[in-house]
Amino acid sequence: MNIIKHKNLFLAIAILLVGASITSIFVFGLKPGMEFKGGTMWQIKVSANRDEVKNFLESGVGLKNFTVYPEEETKSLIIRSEEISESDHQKDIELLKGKFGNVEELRFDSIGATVGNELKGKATTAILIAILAIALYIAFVFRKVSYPIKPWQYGVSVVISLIHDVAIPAGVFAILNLVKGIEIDINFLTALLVIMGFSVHDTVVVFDRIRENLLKSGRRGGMTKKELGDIINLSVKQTLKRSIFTSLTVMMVLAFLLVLGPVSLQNFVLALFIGIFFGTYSSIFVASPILYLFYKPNRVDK
Amino acid sequence: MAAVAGIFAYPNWIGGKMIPWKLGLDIVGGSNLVYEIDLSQVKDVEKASVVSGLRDVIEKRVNLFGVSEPQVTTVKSGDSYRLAVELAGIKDVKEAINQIGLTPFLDFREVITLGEGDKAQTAFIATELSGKYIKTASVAFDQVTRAPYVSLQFTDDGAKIFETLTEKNVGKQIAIFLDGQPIEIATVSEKISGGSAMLSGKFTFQEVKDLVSRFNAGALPAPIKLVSQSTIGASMGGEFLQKAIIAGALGTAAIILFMIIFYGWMGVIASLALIIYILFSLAAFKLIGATMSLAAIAGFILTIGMAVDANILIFERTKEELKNGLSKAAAIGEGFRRAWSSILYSNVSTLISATILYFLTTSFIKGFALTLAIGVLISMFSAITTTRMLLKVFYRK
Repeated sequence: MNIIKHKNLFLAIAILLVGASITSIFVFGLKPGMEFKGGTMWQIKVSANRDEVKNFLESGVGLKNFTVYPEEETKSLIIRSEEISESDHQKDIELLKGKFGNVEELRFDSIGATVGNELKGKATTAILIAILAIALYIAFVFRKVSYPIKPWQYGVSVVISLIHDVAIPAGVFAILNLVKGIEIDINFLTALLVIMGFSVHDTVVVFDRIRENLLKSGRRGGMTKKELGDIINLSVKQTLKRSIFTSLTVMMVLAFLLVLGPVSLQNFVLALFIGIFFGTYSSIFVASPILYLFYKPNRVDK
Repeated sequence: MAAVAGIFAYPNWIGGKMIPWKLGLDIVGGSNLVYEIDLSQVKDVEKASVVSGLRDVIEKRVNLFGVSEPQVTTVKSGDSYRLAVELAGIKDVKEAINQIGLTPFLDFREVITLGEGDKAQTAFIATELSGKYIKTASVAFDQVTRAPYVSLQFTDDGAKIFETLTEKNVGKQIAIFLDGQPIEIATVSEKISGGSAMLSGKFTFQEVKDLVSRFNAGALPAPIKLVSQSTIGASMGGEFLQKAIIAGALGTAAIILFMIIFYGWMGVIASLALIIYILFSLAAFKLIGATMSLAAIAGFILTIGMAVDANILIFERTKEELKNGLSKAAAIGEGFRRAWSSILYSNVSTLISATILYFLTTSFIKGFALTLAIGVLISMFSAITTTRMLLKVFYRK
């Protein structure tokens, strides 16, 4: 299990995936969910099929800029449109009832555009703060200099692997947006924050081991790159089983949630699933090689 | 060992029966309404108190709906103040919105005439006097005509303002506006001190009664507007809850199986610790009164997956030390010591995420952040418990 030897391969894979993700984000775009843009989401059960309802909404109710999709599990229809005021909402229900008989309202969400924009701002801030907080935290934890790796190097490599962890699920969701029209909602951003927390969790375990092994080696100076590489390899090998197992247990639980759990959580769980998988990948195959790459043996050291 | 486990599990069962679960809106059904407060007429200095007064008024109103534990909170976003109303399990949302939204906003305005003759137009100038200065309102009957009217009593501040207003406008007219519509234009015959006023017009008895009850439940100190709502019908929620629980249970079973396969008897101990962890967490959630929305439950299930991690760390470390030739007791000690720093540091990072989530978001996600944080803390605690059990078993061997 020679991480360092094959570091170029692993890093290349990572860069490729991140590159692809970022490209797909720019090309396909991330569709902001209703919570960020404002708008209305309306889920109703009515004894009529999608087209009948769609046509009536257009002509009878006068709704513009909307979509109607059937939802399998609850046998209902999901209507998404621009913001519908409460009074219009009540009017529309009466109109629908008049035409189709009984209408059961499963869900009605209406968010004003300003509220939506604010949420977007808050969410972005949250993620930036998280990255900052984590970087500082890592620098703090690893402040006792363990030669030859400096504290900030630990921090930076964690941040890089975090970017990797966050970019890839986002990229996947950009593709999903294209294919299935899946949106980014507050749940997705929550998932990102959890992924970050978890990935750092993983990475810290590896780094802690690296630090321990470096201390054990008792070296104060003049470590060659090869020796560093060996120690890193050893540390990764020692923590490998644990990293994989932990991720496995979490992913097992997530898999059950994904397949058997409620539909409304599925996108959330999917994001977590992807993120945790790649988070583990980055902890093992990305973070450590970056540390290695940082080290430049100084001619000053004996 | 059984005794230790038993002691921990027992209080959970008791707690389980006594305190009911606090279930999130997306499970029980209900409504989450956000209102924007119009503070344009309010001086900066008074904004905070007006907002909190408004909150109290709305809360009183909302309590009348018969919803268990309605929540009314103020939210400040940038320059604007908002009111978030959570009504879990409410049956008729439409009615609730009507009740909250149509709370009368009363204000007094001076009447002036612009232009002359044919072109004369009436205009109204807003004054300081508004609903927030009304102390009480009651139904009263005119002595002579027996017609019902609203008798208003102002607060001390209100009385002063009213006095100045009437003094300034003796012989002129003052209009009383309700929700932006003039409902009464009265001529001021004299300066009125003492802070009482009569609101009469062609009201029916029922109308007067309604107005009075609204005024007393609290006249709105400032107008509000519904800017967003989220209403979920109860029927969907129940099914989702079931699914989530089943998924969680199966996931846990899978983990237990996994642990036993890979770690043998140590896996059994870990599984036991896991079950205790689950019980502990559930008890903690109830005690703290965390709202269990679907997202929160997902958060909890996530922590189940993560809780095993601490145990794995300890086990792996212990195995290593055993390989290095340490005695069983020493290996466990070392394993625990060395693993602990990793456990602590790595869990803190998840806690950082959870804290950020908790402070920067709204109800559903807050619940998730809470369960995540509690879960992580308890899992750290249970890691200590596991090792103690391990030690006991090892020593017996």
